[in-house]
This record gives sequence, C-alpha cells and structure tokens, in this order.
Amino acid sequence: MSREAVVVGSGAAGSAAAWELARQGWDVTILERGRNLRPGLGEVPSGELDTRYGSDEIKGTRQFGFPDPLLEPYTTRTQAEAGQGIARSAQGALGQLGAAVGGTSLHYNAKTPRFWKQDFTQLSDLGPVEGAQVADWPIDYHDLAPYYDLVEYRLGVQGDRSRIPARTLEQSPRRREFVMPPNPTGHAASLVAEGASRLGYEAYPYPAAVNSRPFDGRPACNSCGLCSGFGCTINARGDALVSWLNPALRTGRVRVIDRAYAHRIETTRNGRRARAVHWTDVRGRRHRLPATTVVLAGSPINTARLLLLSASSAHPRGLGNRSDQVGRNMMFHNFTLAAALYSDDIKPLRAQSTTLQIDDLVGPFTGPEVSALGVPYVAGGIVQVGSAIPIVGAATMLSGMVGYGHRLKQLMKAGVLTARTAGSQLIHQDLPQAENRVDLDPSVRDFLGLPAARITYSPHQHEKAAAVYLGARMQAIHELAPGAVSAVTLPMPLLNEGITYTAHLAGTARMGTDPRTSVCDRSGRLHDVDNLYVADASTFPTFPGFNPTLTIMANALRIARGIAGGSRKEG
Amino acid sequence: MTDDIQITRRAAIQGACVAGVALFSGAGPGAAAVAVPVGDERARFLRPEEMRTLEAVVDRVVPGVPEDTVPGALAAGCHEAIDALLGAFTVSPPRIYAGGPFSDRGGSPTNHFEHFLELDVYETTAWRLRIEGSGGRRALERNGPVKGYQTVYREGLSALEASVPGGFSNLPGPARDVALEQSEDPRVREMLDLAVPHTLEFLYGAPEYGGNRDLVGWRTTDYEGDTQPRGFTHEEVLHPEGSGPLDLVTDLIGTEEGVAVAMGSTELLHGVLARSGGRFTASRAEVGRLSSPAPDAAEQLAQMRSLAEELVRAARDGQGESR
Repeated sequence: MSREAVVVGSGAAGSAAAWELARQGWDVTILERGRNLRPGLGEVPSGELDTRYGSDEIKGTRQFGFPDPLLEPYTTRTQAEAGQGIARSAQGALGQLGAAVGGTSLHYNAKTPRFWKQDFTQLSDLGPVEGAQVADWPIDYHDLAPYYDLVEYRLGVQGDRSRIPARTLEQSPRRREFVMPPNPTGHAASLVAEGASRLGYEAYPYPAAVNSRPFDGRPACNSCGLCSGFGCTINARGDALVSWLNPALRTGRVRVIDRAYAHRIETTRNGRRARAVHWTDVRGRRHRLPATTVVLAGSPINTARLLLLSASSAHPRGLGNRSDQVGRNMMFHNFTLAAALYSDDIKPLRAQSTTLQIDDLVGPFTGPEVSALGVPYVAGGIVQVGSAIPIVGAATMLSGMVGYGHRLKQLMKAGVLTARTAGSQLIHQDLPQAENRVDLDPSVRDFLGLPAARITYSPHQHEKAAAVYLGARMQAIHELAPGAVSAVTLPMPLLNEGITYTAHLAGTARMGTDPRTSVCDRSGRLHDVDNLYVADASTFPTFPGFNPTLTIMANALRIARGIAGGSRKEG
Repeated sequence: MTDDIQITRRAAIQGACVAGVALFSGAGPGAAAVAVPVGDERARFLRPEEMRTLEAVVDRVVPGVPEDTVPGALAAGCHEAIDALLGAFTVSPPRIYAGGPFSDRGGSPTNHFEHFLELDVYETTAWRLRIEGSGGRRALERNGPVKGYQTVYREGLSALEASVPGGFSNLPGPARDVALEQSEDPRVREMLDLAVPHTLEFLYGAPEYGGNRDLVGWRTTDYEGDTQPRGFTHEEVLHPEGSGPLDLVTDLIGTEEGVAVAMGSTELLHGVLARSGGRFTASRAEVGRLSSPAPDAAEQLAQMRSLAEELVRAARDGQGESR
C-alpha cells in the first residue's frame, strides 16, 4: 500500500492528521483554500514564526483570514422557509469559518475542555427525542483519552486539575496534570464566579491552549484580551499551525498548497476507490492531484459540499451518499448570552479571553420543570465566564441598538460594553436533525463558478426548552454577581429561527456502524469508498456543549493513526 | 489609568502608504518616529465638494465639540480615512490590511501597522470588487452586479448635498440630523449604510487606517487600545484600577438599550456582521430583532425571567439563613 495521502484543509483536523501521518513515515499533500499568514512557515521552528496578525480590530471587520463573502458566499434559510419553497433568505458570510493556512485555529479562543463520557452514549442513556436524530458514537471516551493527552501535551494546555469539580473529573477522567498552571483570572470573571457560587455552582480555571509560561519556544501570554478573532501577536497560543502543521512541514514529508480550491474527488468507475482530487487555483486554472488515500478535513459545511460536488454515475447523489445522510445533521452551537452591568470600570478585557468555566449547566436535566417545557430532557453545556468585546465591536452593537449620534457617543464614552460589562456565554448542545442540512445552492456560485453551500437550519424544540431552563440560571448567576447593578440574558435559540454565528460546527458526515444511517464508519472511512476518510467535526454524531477544537484534533489523530496502521480490518 | 496608553503627540496620522511617506520624529522624549503620508499624497478618491459633504456626514455620526465636551469623528479624521479606503488601490500596497504584529503603542520600538500588507490575487480581486464594483465584468457577476463603495459614496453624497436647498453641508448640525433622518432617497440611505459603520470603524480602530487621530477614539472612551507586546502584568489583571463609577450606567437599566449589554459577545457580533454585511440599516434591524422578540418567544422569555427570579430569591433567602 502506498504511504501517501492528500488532505483537504489545513485547520485543526487536517494539520493534526498530517502530523500523525508524517510521524508514521507517510508523504502528505495538503490543499488549503486560504493564504499563509505566518511567514517562515516550514522554514523555522514554531517559536520563531512571524505573523501578519496584529491587535487590529479593523482587520477582523475586513475578513482578514476568512473567506470573502463576495467571492465565496454561503446561503442560508430556515426549515420553515425551506418548507415554503424559498431557495434562500440570506447570502454572505453567515456560517463561515476561517480560511487560512492553519484554519480557524489561527484566531480561535483556544479553550480546550474535553467531551464527557456521557456524550458518547446519549441515545442509550436518555432515549430518542422526537424530530431529532440523536445517536450514540461508535467510539467512546476511552478511545479518545490517549489522544486528548497527546493534544494537550503538544498544544501546551494550561489548567488546574485540583480545582476541577468532581463530576467533571468523573466524566472526563485525566491521567496527567495539565502542562502548565493557569494564567491569572480576570477580575470580571471573578465577580461572575462569585454570583455563580451563590447558586452552588463551581467556577474553575478554563483549560486553554495558551502559554502561562514559555513553552515550545513561544512566550507566556500577557493577558492583552484580544484573543477570539485575533491572531495571537506574541505567539503565546498553541494551534493547528504552530503545534502540528509547522512541525509536520519540517519533517520534509508534508507540503501544503495554499489558495487551492478542491472541488471534486475522482473515483474509479465502480466508485469504490478515490483516485484523484481535482482543485482549482486562484486564477481559475484546473489541477488534478492523483491520490491513493484522501482525507477530508475542510470543516463540516465544506466537507459536505465537496462530497456533493463529487457526484458521479457511481455516486449519483454525491460521493458516499447512498444513505442520503451527507450534509444532514448539520449542528451549530447556539449560545445563551448573559451579562452583568457595573457602574464601576471592571476592566473586563484585561485577561486571557475567558479565564473561568462552569460545568454545572452541562446536565442532562430531567424532572417536572423540564417536562413542563415539553421535552424529555435538557442537555446543556459549559459556561464561559466573564468577558467583553473590544471597542469597534462595541460601537457596532451599540449603534445597532441606538443608531448614531450623541446617544451612541455617550454610551461609548461610558465604556458600557468595554469597561462596565461582565459577559458570559453558555454553549448549548444542538441536537442533530435530518432537515438541518447542507446542500448545493441551485443558483448562487462562488468566484470559480461552483455552486455555493446552502445551509438550512432551525433550532429544535429542545434547544428552545434548554434556553428557557438554562437561561434562567444564567440570568440568576449574573444578577447575583456582587456589585452588579443589573443583568440581562439573551437566549439565542429563542430569538433566532435561523443560524446565529458560531465558530463551532459539526455533523454532515456522521460516523456510525450502520451504513444506512451514517456516512463514515468509526475509522472515519466512508462506508461507500474504501480509501476516503473524513477527519473533521463532520464525523460527530452529536454535538455536546463544549468548545470542540480539542476533540476535533484528538479524533483526527485517532483517524490518522488508523489510516497509517491499516484500519480497514477494524472498520 | 490612561497612563497605560502611551499617547505620543504626533503629527496627524493620515495613513501609511508607501508612496509619499516622510519621516517625522515624535514631539517628546521617548516618542517614536512616525511615518506620515504627506498632504496631497495620501490615498484619495473623492472630489473636494464630495469631501465637504462627507465631513458634514461623519460629524453627525459621532458629533464633536462644541456639542460635546470631547472631539468626535471629524476631528479624528474619519472622512479622510473613508476617502483613503475608497482610494485604497491608488497606492501600493493597497490600504486594506495594516501590517503586524505591533504598533508602537505597547512598547514596540517599531510600528509594523504603518506598513500595509501586500494583497494576494484573491484579496485583490475581492477588495477591488468591493470598492470599485463589478462594472459589467461577467466573471464577477455570477451572482448579479456588485455596486462598489466608490459609486455608493459618490452618488449618495451628491444626492444628499442636493437634497437641501443651499446644500446639506451648509446646514447647522441638528438640521443635518433631521435631513439625514428624513431622507428617503435610496442613494442617500445606501451611502449612510456604509458611512455609519466606516466612521465608527475609523474612529475606534487603529489610527494607521487614517482615523482615530491623536487617539481621540480611545482617549475619550478610556479604551486601553492595542497593548502588545507589553500587555498586562498579573497584578493589573487581578486588581485593576478602573476609572471609577459612572452614574450614566444606571440610566440604562430598564431601557431597551440595557439589552445591548448582553450583546458583548464575539459570536453575536460576528453574527450581526455576517447577516447584515456590516451595513447600518441591516444591522439595526438585526439587533432590533434580538431585542424585541416575536410574541411566542416573548412568552418563553418571560417564563425564563420568572424562573430566574425564583432562583435569585432562593439564593438570597438561603444566604440569609446561613448567616
């Protein structure tokens, strides 16, 4: 068997997979639609890489490191709109992840909680939910645990095992202490944590791939607060590029082609084997890259789109889509946002993004209060405690509320959002639904002339019930924060029938044991194509309420190790 | 607390294109040398009369002295920054993305922001399309024609100026507010959809883009700005000394604006930007929708709040008992 692979996507999944394959002596070519923003890539150790990023909000506003919505739009609609035959109700950047060498991890928040044991057996434990396709995973926590250890070790994850609540440790047991201790807790986060403790909730340092001491030749974080949406200017964050891709490139066995738009996977006539990946460069020239193993890691929307674009006579509904499940079960993390308002300047931006986490709202919750909401259970998620947004973002949100002029200026001078707010986010579990899906837009095209991905999405009744039940707790936490003059909660599943923005995506090519109801087997291999694997969050059968990057990397390593070890037999 | 920001008195920063850069040394000891594009050589697009109208617009987006005690968008140079964006491709590299990683405001001896990044083919295509429009080129009109910023501003400013006898820019401030508010001309509305977010972006963004002159956007808001590579010490994180309490904040309670407080989330911000394409009317509609929910959602929200009240009451009672 030839030991070479083509990987589509250089983000969290693609880079981790390429690293593992290279470690096992494979040759890997990665196709990446974005540009390289880290000069020195592949030439110098990760600690010496330069960066094109800055603590510059305008770059963020201008989609730096993202796909451009004019050139590569997605289209979206709700389930109700789809039912009325509306082709799309929005077109642009909604749902887009980053597009750069290293993927969205270049500007992620670097929060790295583990999924819990119970997340892998949700259907068995809790039973079905009407209108949702809840499923068990074909793997369990212990299959991922060694990879969690490895990812945390390579990224350099900070945390404090002694402060992790007992239930969290029981649900996500860990062999090792964290690589390094936590950075100092933000003042705003401490205030909210005190409110939470009055409800009996326990806040603890958020595991994060952020240096609190020099590590891997990179310096300690200095709490500048400009994390999510910003590339770390001092290189203090562990990510797909510094922790996996750059070391992989430096083995000499891996190459990455940037601005390469993969648009079709060619198979043998009978459709059983992939034999080439077709891609287009930014000038529209077409290329054919022969392949003996193909690994898809372009994130859920793009992976589904590529499989659908690769329809052929052997795979008329899209590659690997005999089950009609490709593109379905698209899941987004909805958020419930809460904030405490202070008359004091509490400096919420002075901290390494979010420093504390609360697990008391993970659930699942049952009982009369839940039944009264019309659902069998409420599955929640973790709370990111106490943060704020920087100033251009604050001006954008406030002008959305009050318009422009004198009133806006007074609110900006008061620093309402930048100085006097402690905000938190609950990450909601999103149940998989057949009708939440990615397909090809019938008329909107990207700049290369290829059909755009179209996302049909509405939150399930479960998400709305969870928002009521858990939103109440979020509101109480913030009302009880010492010194808060008021608190507000915005439960997005109640306020929005379509997708809200989130960088947390999963589903569209779920793993499972039954080829009739899933796209991939437990090894990530397509049921219908022998040498084609999916390594990204597309494979997740459910989407528990935790920041997903750690699990994406761990699962990609597991899948890559299976490929290198000849996992066909396990399949 | 604003000592945290090293405010260097400097000649007005109008941007940092390679063409026409001259070096000035800063005014005081320790002030860094700043590259300032000279006078006529900054990137520009609008005609002088259009600039006058634009000045009169940005002055209403964030008014300055004497209506308020501190300067606003006009003094910050937001009109020139907008003009420089419209003319971004008249200089090389185009003024789209400032360089990195550091400005000279957080302890770096060199200001990397001043040297704008070279764009690749993809970025050039996207930003020329956005600024100049599709101009009938079929390859760029797969999803319909794109009207460029240049046309939007040019048509909107001229329509606005002509909408008032004697000219919009000659009106006093409050009368300009009314004229802007009442204009139903789609060209004016489309221009304002860009001018409002652009003004805010340039007032509160990095000064290298041409606005936020003398850091007025940050000084007047006590915003700490870009602090890298210095960042904050553990002590500054754990025990911050803020600028003190402000009564205005309590004015917000119970008002619809109070809801905005919970909107300080990166995810929500990106959602609003993505849905609205960053345009003012659309982002107002989006934020408005979140703050005044549909009737069935309002019922569920009320249910959520009453559950919260019970929890808060129980927690407070519980604490009373344990004392």
